Amino acid sequence: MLQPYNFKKIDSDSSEYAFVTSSGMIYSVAFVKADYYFPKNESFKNDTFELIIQLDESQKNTWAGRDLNIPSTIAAIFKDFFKDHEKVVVFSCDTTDGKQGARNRKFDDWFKQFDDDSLLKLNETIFDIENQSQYFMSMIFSKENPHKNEIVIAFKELTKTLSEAK
Amino acid sequence: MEKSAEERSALWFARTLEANKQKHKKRLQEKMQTPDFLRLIESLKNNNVTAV
Repeated sequence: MLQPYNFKKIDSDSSEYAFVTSSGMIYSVAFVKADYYFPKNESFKNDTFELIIQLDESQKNTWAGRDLNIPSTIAAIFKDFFKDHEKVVVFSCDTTDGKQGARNRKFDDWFKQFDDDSLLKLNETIFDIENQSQYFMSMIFSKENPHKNEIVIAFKELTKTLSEAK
Repeated sequence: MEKSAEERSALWFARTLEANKQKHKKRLQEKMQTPDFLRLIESLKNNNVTAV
């Protein structure tokens, strides 16, 4: 049976969490305030956070098997973070090694698997011709968010400009 | 070809998100080496054992 690992906040007043798996893999999950992405949206710009998931660098090349308790733990951390329904998370998959497509599929699978119908996830793929890169970007927020409609409109406006530019 | 202001804005969003991610990952990694963090991990390891 899937059992989230115990997790704790790194600092009591921050939105940074840590957990360690049964095979000793050490993860940090951080939500970092980012009030500059939607400057015109007063209702939620100050509640916007970037999501960072960091595996200890020294363990990057360690294969620990397929541990479904990891996404289960990240889902539990999400649940804790989104206790405040007004929070909004923006997220993009790491592009440094060119494996962002695989990461995006994995994150999407995790999200579907642990979706308890409390969160909404909007997705967009952005092609950066100049840098020959591709970004997989998501916005995640609570279905109980009082500014839900405004958030969806802001995301659609952003993606609309992308479609027009393609 | 000259990019429109909107396209620059959308690309700015994606590029900023990616650049910030790398900056925050570096900061987190540094934090993960501190004695306080390592103590936290030790206590979590003990809790995981207890949970089993």
